[in-house]
Amino acid sequence: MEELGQVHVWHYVPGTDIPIPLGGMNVFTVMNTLLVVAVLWALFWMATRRLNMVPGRAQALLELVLDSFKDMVDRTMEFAPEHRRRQYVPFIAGLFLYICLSNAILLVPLPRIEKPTSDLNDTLALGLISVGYALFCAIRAKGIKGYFVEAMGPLFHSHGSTAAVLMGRSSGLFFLPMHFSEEMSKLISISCRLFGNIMGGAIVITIVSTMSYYIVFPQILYAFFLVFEAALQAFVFSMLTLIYLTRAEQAHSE
Amino acid sequence: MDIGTVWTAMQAAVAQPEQAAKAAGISGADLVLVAKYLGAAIAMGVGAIGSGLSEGFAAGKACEGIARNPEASGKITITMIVGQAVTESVAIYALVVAVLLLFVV
Repeated sequence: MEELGQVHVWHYVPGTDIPIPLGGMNVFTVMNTLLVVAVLWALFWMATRRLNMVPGRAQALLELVLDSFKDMVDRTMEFAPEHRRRQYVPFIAGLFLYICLSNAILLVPLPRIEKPTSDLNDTLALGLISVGYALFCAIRAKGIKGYFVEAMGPLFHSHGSTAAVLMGRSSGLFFLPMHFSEEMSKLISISCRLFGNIMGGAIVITIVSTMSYYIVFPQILYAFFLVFEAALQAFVFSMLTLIYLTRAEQAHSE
Repeated sequence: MDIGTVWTAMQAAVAQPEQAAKAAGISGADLVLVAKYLGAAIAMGVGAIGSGLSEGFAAGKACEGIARNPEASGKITITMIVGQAVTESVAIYALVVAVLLLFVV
């Protein structure tokens, strides 16, 4: 099981005595994240080097990929106007491509390659980005006051006698913590889902490979977990992010 | 036979069962080990029941929907996958807890 927990934490800035805050830095995760970003950047750079009205092969492939993301956003947020839908496409596409590639980065035949998403810190950062962006969009759509009023729950605007209004107002004290715990549970669920799926895949690969003496099963399992599961989990993550964004957008167009 | 010899013999007699118990090997650390393995197995096994049942149920319903309306298969598949991913998170929590028990505790 030594392959699973391959972590190398820097507690100090190398060569100095300066401590790194928050308990250090996981070097492999950061290095592999940078590798993923470099690979992604190189692919896009190669595809967009010579842009033409009549696209070449690489450009056509890239346009196909980006068009599929545009379709996904369009189908999920049918009600929103065109210019508001378009601003979410790069975010969703970047999230999907980054997660898909970082799940499949083990296909690069180099030593010290780890999937960055099998570290909870990485997935937690991704979850913070997606949930925080949804929160930002909700606040941008409704304003801070409107956001808090909606978080106070459905009984906040109750009419009628003084007692009913007072009860409705005070019910906000119950609904507001519920709302924030819901946001927290969104964050935990979206990041733990990605982490658990990728880590579970790594565990299954390790155990089954050890039991079968590395003969036939590793190849099949790698094909399943590094190609199919990687794209599936990336799709699920970006789709859930899109759903959170849709809920923020829905309030805007009402 | 002086009192010192008797005392040593008594001590040996008392100490013998203790040593035997130690050789049989049930100490606090072993109990923790047993509890940890058992806990991980139970967490994963019981946690997978509900998620497996509900995912199968969702897939069956999606099959019915596609059989009734084959044109909507793409939309149904996407909705099914997202719903199953949300359902699956319960089992994933169980997995995370099991992994924590195995490797961290």
